[in-house]
Amino acid sequence: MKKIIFLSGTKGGTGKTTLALNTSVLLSYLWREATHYPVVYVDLTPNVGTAALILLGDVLASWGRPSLSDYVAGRLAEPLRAFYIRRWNTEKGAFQIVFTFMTQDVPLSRRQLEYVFSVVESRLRPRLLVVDAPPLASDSPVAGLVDYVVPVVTPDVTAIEATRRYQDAVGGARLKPVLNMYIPSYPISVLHSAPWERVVENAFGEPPHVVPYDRLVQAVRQALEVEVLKLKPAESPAVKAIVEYARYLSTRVG
Amino acid sequence: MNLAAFILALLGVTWIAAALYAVSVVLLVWRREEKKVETRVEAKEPTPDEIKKRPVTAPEI
Repeated sequence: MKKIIFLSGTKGGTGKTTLALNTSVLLSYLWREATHYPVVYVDLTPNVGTAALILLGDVLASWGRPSLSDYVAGRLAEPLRAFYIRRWNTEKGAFQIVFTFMTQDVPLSRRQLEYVFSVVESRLRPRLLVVDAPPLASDSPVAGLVDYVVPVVTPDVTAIEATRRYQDAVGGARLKPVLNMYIPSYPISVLHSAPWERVVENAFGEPPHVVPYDRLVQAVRQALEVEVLKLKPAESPAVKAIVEYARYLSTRVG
Repeated sequence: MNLAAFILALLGVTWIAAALYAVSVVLLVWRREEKKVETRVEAKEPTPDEIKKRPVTAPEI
């Protein structure tokens, strides 16, 4: 089992969850016949993260259900009881993703997280475990527990710097950075007098994978749905870019 | 233009009034068609509600 995190350092709203959830769903579909539980998605955002809400399918669905915060608070002995399965039926067969979430803001220790990961690895045997964490500080419990890091940045100097500084604190091999171009009107950085792609390349030493601005992605988010299951790459340039990145991940991680 | 055509017709300049009236009608019809084309382009983008109702399809990967 490989562990991966999508990282923006201390910055929020960069598109980490969108990218993490969509690539997880794509890889679950791609590896559906290779193993029973190809991808496990761990949403560590307190008070139910967006990805968990989308996977649960209803804003009220988390009520009364055991979550990872119950295990952390000592109310749940077996962490796997806080994991759920979301299954989709498509014209080309069914596939599923296993996920968990936090309903409360409780302090999660590195030891607890390490134990949860080891239980997932021994009992579910997934190919990939995806960590969706809120903006991280350097003392994050995730530090040192992941194999791969995907930097996700927006056209913003502070977002790029915060991500670059915190990637070493988390550890793991860095994969191709992602530039979420959610502001299409300003493709050039006025501070660098260069396109944002070049600014990110200079910061990370590798040209980024660009996800272009797409209004349809905003519409799908409002509908609380997974973009790659509702939009075709032909109608959405952002979905096309996410599919390309999932293909890249399958070659690097799978 | 419509009003001007009516006044000219009252003054007895019927040929000019008729021409003016015809031009005003052509302009009215042309503008309405332009508006229809604009609304058609806007309607192409699905709303969150329409996306919610779409069936789940196998992702293209």
